[in-house]
Amino acid sequence: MNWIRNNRRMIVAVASVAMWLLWPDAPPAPPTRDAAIVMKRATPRAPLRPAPRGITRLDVADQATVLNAPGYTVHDDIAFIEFLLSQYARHHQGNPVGDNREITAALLGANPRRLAYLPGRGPFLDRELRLIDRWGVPYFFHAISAHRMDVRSAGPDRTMWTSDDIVHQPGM
Amino acid sequence: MNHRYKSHRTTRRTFLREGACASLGLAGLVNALAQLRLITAAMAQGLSSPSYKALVCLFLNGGNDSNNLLIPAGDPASDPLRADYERGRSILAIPHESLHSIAVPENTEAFKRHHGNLLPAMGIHPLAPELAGLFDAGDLAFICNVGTLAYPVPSRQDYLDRAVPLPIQLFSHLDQISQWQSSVADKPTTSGWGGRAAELLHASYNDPASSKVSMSISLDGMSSFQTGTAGDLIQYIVRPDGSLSLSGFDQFANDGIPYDAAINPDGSYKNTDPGKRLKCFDDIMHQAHSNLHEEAYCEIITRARATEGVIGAALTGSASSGVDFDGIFSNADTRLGRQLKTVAKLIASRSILGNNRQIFFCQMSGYDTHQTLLGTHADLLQELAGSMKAFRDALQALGVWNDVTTFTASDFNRTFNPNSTDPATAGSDHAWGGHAMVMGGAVRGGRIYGHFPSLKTGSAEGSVDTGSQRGQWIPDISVDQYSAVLASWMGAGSNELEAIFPNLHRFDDPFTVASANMNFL
Repeated sequence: MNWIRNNRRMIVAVASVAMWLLWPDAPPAPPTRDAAIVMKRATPRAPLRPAPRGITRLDVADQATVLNAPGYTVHDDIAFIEFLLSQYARHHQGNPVGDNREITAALLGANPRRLAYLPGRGPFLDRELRLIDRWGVPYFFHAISAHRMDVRSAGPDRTMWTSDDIVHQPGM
Repeated sequence: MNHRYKSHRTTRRTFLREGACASLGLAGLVNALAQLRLITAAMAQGLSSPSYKALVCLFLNGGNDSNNLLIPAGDPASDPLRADYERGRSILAIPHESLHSIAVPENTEAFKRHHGNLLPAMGIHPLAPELAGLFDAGDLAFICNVGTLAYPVPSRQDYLDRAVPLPIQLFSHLDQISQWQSSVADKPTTSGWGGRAAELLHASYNDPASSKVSMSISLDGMSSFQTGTAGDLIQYIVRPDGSLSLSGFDQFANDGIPYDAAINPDGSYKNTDPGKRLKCFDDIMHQAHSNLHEEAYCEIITRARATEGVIGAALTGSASSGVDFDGIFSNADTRLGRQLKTVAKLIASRSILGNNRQIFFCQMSGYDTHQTLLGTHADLLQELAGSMKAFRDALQALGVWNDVTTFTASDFNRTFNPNSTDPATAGSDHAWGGHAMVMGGAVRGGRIYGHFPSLKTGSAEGSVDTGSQRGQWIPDISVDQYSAVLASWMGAGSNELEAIFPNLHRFDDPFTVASANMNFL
């Protein structure tokens, strides 16, 4: 009891601070229209764009006429495919994944943003919708990393992994 | 004051109240790994001297075609698994007569998920008889269909529908290597699970006073596997013939005798140009520098020179173990064999290095067999099998067989279908889930764990193929599950496991854990 009597002022001070901290806040006033505007401005968000129902064909798809066309070479073809892949990687934070069929499907629009980088028809596609070289053989895609893909053509002998293969190794 | 502004302002009272809570909650969460390290270090104070344990990672760089490592060996006329193997592998199939049969225990669970009650005959690649011997001796186990997973993928349809998030950049070398070594498949990660485990284990099991060298030692350059989060436990890189030394001070480069052009056998500097240069360099390193960058550089160089001496002493001191390392590894004088011989020597001299826990990283490249798979892969497996057997023999001779666990990892498995019709040149391409191996005295060997996949491709009934139609098995076991068993054996408790493997809880479904079939340690 003596201790309480001697420290009466301190006890009152501590109790006051505790009450101040623990006392419930007054209920917030309902936001006015102006307040709602302030809140909206204070927390800007990227507009939520719903996924498009259809496929959006990009301008670059119109340039695919160069693929396997007379007057161009297989090196031009591979360079263009690499350009398409770089565009895809920029829009999707990385290259499409999988084998030729899956990568081609992604370039035709089967991707999260439904963007088409190639037209759905052309001499560069076979019946199974794989990207083929100018000798009619599907390209081989060798995924090194999210942003590096080696593209290999079987070359004039139409046989993959022989000495006349044409392969571009970006960054090498 | 404007009411509109005031109503959204944090009051002083709210700030004090929430700040106190945050200091107890969020900050602790953010620093979980650092806090755990301190806690485990404090707990370790009360422990008696812990026993020695080492983990050895064998990384098979390029993507090991494990479809031709552990192979159905029955008669295709009566064994549906062998029939599927021959049908799918086609020209890449290994004749069943040439395989080394292994004794699969009758109570094996690994075939039940995809093959019902079938207990097929299994065999090992013809040029890897040592692996069959290790398996039958109970020293080695296979873990089937392990791969990177962000979440469990219950079925092929779930994969095709993208019903669950998949690992980022599946089938790409660098991304899959990173995900295997970090055990984080859904976002880029700068640290490896070996490095994160080392940070926690070092604090609790190693005595800083006696530890002379990092507990993370790589035999093949920097690895992301051993990269930690804090930067204070740096992996130490050793060449198969010893430490990396400063260049320009050897009489003969790469002869395993560093500084012999600069230093006498008694440690004094030689009166030669290299000797004078090295003395000058050492003098500069021992000076105090006011510039922080210079001071840090000198500290690192001085520490590296000291560690170099410790490693050199350990490799020399390993001779006192009485084990004939050269003799044991005489049939394994290969890239991997030389790495494992050095690891064995360092383990022999563990008292000089002063660590109770060590993690080693070894690596073999050349597994990216897009062409000539049959020939190239045979050579690779021959080297791997011979090196692993020699390593087992060395560890047994040292008496530490029960204290060292060796495990394999690789970028991914390869496509089941060949990529060509010519057996001489055909290869296989990037795929997903594959078989791993674990070896050691503590391993419940002679058994097959995980789940052996269906070997049906495309949309055939029971197929676990992706959309490729070429046999890219969707993993049954995640890298997280596989690695967590290894880290747990090293001494990581449940709290540490959560910190080392942040996604492990995703595979902790009580309905699937019991059936994971992963009690190999």
